[in-house]
Amino acid sequence: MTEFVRVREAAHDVTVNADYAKGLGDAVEILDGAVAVDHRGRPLPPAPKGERRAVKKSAANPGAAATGGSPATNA
Amino acid sequence: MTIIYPEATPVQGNTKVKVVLAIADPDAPSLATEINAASSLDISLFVRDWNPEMTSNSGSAPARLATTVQLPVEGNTQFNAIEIRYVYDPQADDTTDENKAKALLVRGTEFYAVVRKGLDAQATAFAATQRVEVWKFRAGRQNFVRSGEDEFSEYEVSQLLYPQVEPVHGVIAA
Repeated sequence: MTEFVRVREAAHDVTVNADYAKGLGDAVEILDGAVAVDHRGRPLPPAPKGERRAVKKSAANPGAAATGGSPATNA
Repeated sequence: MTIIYPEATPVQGNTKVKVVLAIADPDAPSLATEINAASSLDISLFVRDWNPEMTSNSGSAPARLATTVQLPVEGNTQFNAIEIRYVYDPQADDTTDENKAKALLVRGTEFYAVVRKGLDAQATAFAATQRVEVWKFRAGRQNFVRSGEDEFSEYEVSQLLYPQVEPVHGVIAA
């Protein structure tokens, strides 16, 4: 299954394939926190404010898997 | 009387497509922080073609008993999923330049495509005030196929992109 990660850009945080983010090297900052995906492996849209959503463990961010978070598709 | 004979703009080499992961205002995508963001990818030299298809229905209201003329009425506009085909290296990691399009456009990814028409795609960089079309897509499944049957064929990815909203015609902001 594809692993998505959150990446910090100058203007936005974006959701992208982990391998693509790694290929960008130091040009981007990969954020901690796994990205929630649906049953097809697609990143889920942002959770409504106040709602915490369980997240899938990410190979890119194994330590952050149990923390919940604020996954988002790209704005 | 003045006769206007407008010059046509050739398509060949004059379409530039960049995948951008986030755009705050599709009417005015930011050159510095969105189009030229580190995660954005120019796929103009990855894809074989870029030719979105859309059709507008037309019809006419049911006739009445005394109707003698029926005039056409505009119906819905239908957007089709766009098929793209692009090259990749079957033996390379997804972190390599050769596989950047394959890695970026994995199934489920939502992204914007900034499409610039009418300027040399290789020689002319994106710049402020240029006119662009901005599409938002969700990437479909990646199918790994070959480009043809003959000895000139290449390995490539075939994929459908699903429009999420109507495209907008915007102007690049600084």
